[in-house]
Amino acid sequence: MRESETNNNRDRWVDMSILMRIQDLQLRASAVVDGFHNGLHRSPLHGFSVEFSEYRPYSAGDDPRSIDWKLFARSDRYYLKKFEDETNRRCYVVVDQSKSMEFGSLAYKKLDYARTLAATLAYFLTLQRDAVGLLTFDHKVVDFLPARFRTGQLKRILSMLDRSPRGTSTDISTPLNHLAEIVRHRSLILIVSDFLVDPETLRAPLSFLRARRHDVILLRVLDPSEVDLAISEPTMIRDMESGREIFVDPATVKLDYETRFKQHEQSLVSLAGDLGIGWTSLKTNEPMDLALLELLNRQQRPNLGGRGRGFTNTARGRG
Amino acid sequence: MSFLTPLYALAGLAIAIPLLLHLVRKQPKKHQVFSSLMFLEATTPRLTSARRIDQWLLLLLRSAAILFLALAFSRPYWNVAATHESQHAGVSRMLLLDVSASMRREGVWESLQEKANQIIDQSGPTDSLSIYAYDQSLKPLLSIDEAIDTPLAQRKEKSRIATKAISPGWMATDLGLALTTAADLLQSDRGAATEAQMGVSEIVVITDFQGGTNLEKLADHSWPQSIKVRLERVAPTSSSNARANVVISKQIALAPTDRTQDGKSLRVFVSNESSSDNNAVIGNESARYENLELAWLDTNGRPIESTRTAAPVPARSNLIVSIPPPPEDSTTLRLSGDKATFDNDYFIAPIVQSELSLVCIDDSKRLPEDSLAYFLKQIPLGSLNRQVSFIDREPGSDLPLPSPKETPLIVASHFTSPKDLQALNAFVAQGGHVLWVWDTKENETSFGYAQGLEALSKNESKSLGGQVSEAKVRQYSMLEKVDFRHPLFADLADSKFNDYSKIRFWSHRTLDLSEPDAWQVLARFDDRSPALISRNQATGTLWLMMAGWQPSQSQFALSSKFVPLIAGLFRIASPPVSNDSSRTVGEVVEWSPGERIVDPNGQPLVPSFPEPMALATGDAKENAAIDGQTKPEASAYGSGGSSLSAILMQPGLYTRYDVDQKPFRFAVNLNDSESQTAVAGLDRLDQYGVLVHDGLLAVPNAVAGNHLRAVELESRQGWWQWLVMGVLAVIGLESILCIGKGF
Repeated sequence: MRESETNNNRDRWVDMSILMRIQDLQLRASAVVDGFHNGLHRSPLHGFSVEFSEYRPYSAGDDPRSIDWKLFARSDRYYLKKFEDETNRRCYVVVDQSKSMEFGSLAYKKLDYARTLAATLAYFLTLQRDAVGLLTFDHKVVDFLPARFRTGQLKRILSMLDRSPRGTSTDISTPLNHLAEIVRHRSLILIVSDFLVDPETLRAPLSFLRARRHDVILLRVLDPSEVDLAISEPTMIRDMESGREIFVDPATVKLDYETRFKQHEQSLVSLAGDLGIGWTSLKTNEPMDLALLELLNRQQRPNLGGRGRGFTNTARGRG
Repeated sequence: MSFLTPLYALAGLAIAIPLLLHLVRKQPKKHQVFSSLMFLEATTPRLTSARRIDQWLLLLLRSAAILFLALAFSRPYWNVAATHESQHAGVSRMLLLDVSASMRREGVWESLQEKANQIIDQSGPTDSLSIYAYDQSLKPLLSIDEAIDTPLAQRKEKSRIATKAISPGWMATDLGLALTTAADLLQSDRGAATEAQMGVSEIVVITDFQGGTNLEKLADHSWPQSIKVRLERVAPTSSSNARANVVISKQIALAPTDRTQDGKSLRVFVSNESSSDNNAVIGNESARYENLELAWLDTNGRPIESTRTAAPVPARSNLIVSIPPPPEDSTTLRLSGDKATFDNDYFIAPIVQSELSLVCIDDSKRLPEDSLAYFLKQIPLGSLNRQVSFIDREPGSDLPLPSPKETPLIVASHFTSPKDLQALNAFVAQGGHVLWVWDTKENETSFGYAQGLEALSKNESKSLGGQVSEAKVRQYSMLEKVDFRHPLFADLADSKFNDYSKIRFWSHRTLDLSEPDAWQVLARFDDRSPALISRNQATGTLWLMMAGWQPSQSQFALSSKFVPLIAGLFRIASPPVSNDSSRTVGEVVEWSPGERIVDPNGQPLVPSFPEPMALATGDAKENAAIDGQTKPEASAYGSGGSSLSAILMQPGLYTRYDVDQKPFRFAVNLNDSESQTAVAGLDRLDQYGVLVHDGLLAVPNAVAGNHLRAVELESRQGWWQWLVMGVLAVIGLESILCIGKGF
């Protein structure tokens, strides 16, 4: 049911290969987000906050509870009174810029996809008037921008994302520990990475974040060829990070690879489930809207800190 | 299968290269980066079966190309078993022994025998050694076939026997002919066996190689590369540098005219052929010089008289000495005092002049310029050995005609009477020659020419006559269709002399022969009527000329052709007695069956031709070439076909007895070239391209022989060419395969 729905949605979504040709990161992000908004038929999902945000004309389907009757009395028109939804909420987009992210069998790399995704999320959150911060890392923290909601914040994020990475290996735990230490307020932390590390190494830092009441979403970015080992003939394969080279005959290795890959993913998913962390796996040829949907899902969850296993993206079975 | 250059086969090891390349190719040539190897495990490199088959095919093709190339370079050949392997394996050596007169010098022949034995001893057991002797011709002592057929064990013994069996003769040396003939023999022998089977060919010449050696034959012969010549020179023991040979040239042969003109002295040509500064002196006792003595010998061989005049003869120079003429019975002039005695004697035969006459039947009352006889008288028909007198004979004379032996030719004019014609008819029947000249119009004669012809052919089976008429000549007639093959005209056949168009005939007679086949037309007038015809009648010949030669009739008598033609006619008519008193050893002498010739030893000459000579095999032409003599071709016109001939083998005085047992002596002397004993240089042979190698006898060993044979076999089989073709084909196939597979 959900599968067919996804397929229908996909027709609306922007083709990734076309999208990635757009040079400007902001333009790219806005293209995704605007498309996403159109798809949502103006469902801004404003929260019930105390802080007034704006008036908006009523349209059919809006919750009548939001109608400002006083304004109606004054102007004889239906306006919805919008409030700043959790204006004190902070979001951190954490982007993995390690060497392994530079892999890509398509016209673009995983890192490009991850950056676009980060930009999209930042743009989307900015539109929602959330304070957005950024942390990029490879084996250590490369850049850190504290979450703010102010003019120019998005631009700074985007320019930071545009910097070319120089990392080699991946070490996720250090930046996460670092983030947990410096971010005091409860925040939404979106971690964009390929997570090609031992799942157990993630358990401690993620637990740490959860313990500090942060809401965490893991956004896994994978190249399609990584998922199903798209190597047709015996090839010498070099590890991008370590430089180690081995001979691989896909005919003999493929099954084993897939098994191990699935095992690894399974353990990541179960780790996320254990810790009540959101999980979305994206292939670089897939639209980013899925990530936005996941974001919305998390926002609409009644208890943000709950351990809702069923709300993770694993239920979609998209590996 | 054998290889000419087997080391090249090592290049076949290069197949390791494609093998290695193929092994390297098994490593995946594609390199790819991947994000992480955490889910991958290294695979042991292993080929799929399908790929392996493809590569095996390529590997095979590439290896084959390299192997073929290596094989081609190593020049393979099939070692075809030679049939005469054992017989032919060695050197095919031909021993040429000089048996010319100069080999008679002291010690020369002994050293020749010694050298010959040395060479026989040094020859390998499998060598085939044939032995030939040569002077002016090549004579087999042990021919190539005999040498090959002789069992190996007996070869040397047989060679020695053959070498001992000969002795030097008196002939001149024609090494050129000997070498070319020997080379031809060796090559014709190779014709059957291949070069490889024959191995190496070598001609060893044992000779004194004196300066008079004739090498001209080599000039028109390209010397075969495969035949090597080795020259073994032998020198006289006493020669060293004290040798002075004397030549008495026959150019100043003693002629009666010389004696009569200057009754006191005779010139003799003396040459000192010494190779060093060995001066000599004639007629004087000198301690410093070699003393030569020139003297006539009497019939017992004792010197009669020494020359008194003293004259020095420096080395390598010539001198003409005047000496008194020989006494009547002396026939030998001897120059003694030098070390080489073989050419000391010079023989002189007393010249006997035969006395002949030419009879002309003509009217003596005629004006000289109108008569035939006047012009005939002017012709000098006499020579050194014959005296010709001219006899005028009146027509209708009762005197008997002389015999044809004394008078070979009778010239008859239009005055000739029927009586004369009868006598002439008898004369022709005896073997005489009659030239009847119709020198005026028929109506001026006492009888018709046609009747005259009838009279001349009275005892013939058929009539020879025909219609005679006076030709209608506009201005003049010329001769045409001259038969230059006839001996009469043959001497003038050369293009320098054969222009008869300048002889103009103001008038002539036309003879329409009733029996044209009975006559031989030697020349015609330009109106096609015969001008000169002849007919053999019994043993004589009748000649008819249809115009006169006196100036009132034609320009013939005044032309340059008149004297040679009449002299030629007289020569043809004269008895064919060869009275050449001086000949050279090696010349061919001919005689008719009724005659005989006795050599200086008193033995009659045995005719050599036309019996086969020299070689037992081969056709007559080849024999003639080998013997260096060609039999004089029997002329269609002459009587040479029935003559006998022989080669004059030794010097001295020969006596010819004619049919009447009348003796005629002639002298045969050594060839002058034999006296030129100065040693010639080897460069003379080099000039003709003959491959001369000197020094120790280089017997090519078996390895070299095998190598030559291998080279020959290989070049004949030419496997390498096929292998190279194979390489190209394989490479082409490999390329197609590679393109097909997209490598």
